[in-house]
Amino acid sequence: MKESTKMLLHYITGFLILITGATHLIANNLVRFNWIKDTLWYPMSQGVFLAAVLYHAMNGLRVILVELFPGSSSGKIISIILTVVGIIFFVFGLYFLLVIFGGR
Amino acid sequence: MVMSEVRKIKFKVFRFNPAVDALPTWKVYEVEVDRGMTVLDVLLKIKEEKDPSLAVRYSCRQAVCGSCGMMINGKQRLACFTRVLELNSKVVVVEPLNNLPITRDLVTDFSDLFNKEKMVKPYIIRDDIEEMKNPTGMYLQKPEELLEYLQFADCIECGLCSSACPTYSTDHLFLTPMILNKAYRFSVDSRDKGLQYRLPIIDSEHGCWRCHFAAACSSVCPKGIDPAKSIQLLKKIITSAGIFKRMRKKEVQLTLRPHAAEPPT
Amino acid sequence: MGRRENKLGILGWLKLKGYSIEKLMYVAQRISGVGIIIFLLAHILNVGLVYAPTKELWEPPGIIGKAVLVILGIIVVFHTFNGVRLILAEYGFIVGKPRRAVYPYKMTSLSGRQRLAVYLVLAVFIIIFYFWIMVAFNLLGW
Repeated sequence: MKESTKMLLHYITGFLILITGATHLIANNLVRFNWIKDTLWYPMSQGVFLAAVLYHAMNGLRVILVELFPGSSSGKIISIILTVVGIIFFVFGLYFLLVIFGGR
Repeated sequence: MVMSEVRKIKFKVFRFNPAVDALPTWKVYEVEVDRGMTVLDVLLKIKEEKDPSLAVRYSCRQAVCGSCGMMINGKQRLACFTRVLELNSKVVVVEPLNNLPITRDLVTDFSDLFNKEKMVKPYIIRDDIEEMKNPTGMYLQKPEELLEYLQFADCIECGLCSSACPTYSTDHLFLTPMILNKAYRFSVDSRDKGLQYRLPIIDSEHGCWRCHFAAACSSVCPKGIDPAKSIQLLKKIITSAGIFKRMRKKEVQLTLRPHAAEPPT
Repeated sequence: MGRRENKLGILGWLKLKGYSIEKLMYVAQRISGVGIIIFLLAHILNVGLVYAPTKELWEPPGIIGKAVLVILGIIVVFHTFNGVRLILAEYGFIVGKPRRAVYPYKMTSLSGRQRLAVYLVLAVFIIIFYFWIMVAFNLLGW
């Protein structure tokens, strides 16, 4: 993937997090808005949130690490490690999203 | 009558010869500074009167050649463009530019930057080879087409921006603001058609996306180039060109020379 | 060799003296980002391993757990608003148009709309910081 595509995705996921993350925080922390959690849309938005926030986090970490350890092969190694970590956390998170919201 | 104002100011100068010394040393020179004297004037005065072994690179003394960039009181400045009394400090610390290899004393090695500059093809690339070989006219630019790149063409390649860049302080492969500014200046030129040849280098892992708009480059630029702006605009055009395959750019029209078609008699 | 190379290393990221406020925002964006990543990964594990079976989130004991949440709230707000500013800047929307470099030089990327956005981010940050301190006093029980 080209660097400009990666960074465009970084910014798009940033905006997705802005929406879904706000939903996550409001629904979980404000008692008055707890009803949001009972809607069908909520678990789906949380799935999107999980994917977006993990991409955003792993790409952000990649940017920092690539700048800290420049080299001909280090970029690839960093990318592979972070992709694996991201996928593990995504599968893990998605599994427990299904456990928590699977009852419906 | 203009009052002459002479003050004694201490100059703490960085001395290091990598071929001989293991560690750099600092030498303090006390110099009488007149109103209007620049740091370069003082360094040359030290060289003439006190210590001829001090190495300084300079050429034009008027902020045109870009040779005398150095760290003055912790900030990247041109020695010839900085008046000593305007610094308002009793001790002036003079060091070589950060993040660039030291050749000797205040002289730094720019070969890394110039090699990277070659990589981004800093010249106008055209596809009409026949016209280039046998020109029939000229490419006249309109004032608004000129204004697109004129600011960025003023660069004197002093390397202050590259030295100030936080990314370059850890990432030695980063193209640095000076080079990315050059790449934008040629890519946005209405005569140029070479962005696709520059993309593999600019859009790489250590290309323009390693800039995160800390804007240190713009805050040290002595010529008003604003490299931070040109890098962000470069990101904009490579996103539209690289992902959406679209270049929103005015293209210059060939203006035929009068009597071009007639054979010479 | 190291002294000859003259690289500042990671200190170059943190050097603020002599540069504009954007450099401070850059450093803060980075540090807050790393902080949020650490929380995020811990939070996913927390929800998965503790909340799913027991329906109760684990918190570090005592004042530390609350303090983590308070600091996290502050840095998330900063990272979000500064992130929006950075997206606008990096796609060239607020850095200004090319203009002639005429002395005295004025950098449009360090003034005008971009600088206004910086102050807006800081203003929003300070307002939310103020409210958040109020919340924090309640949370910490002072």
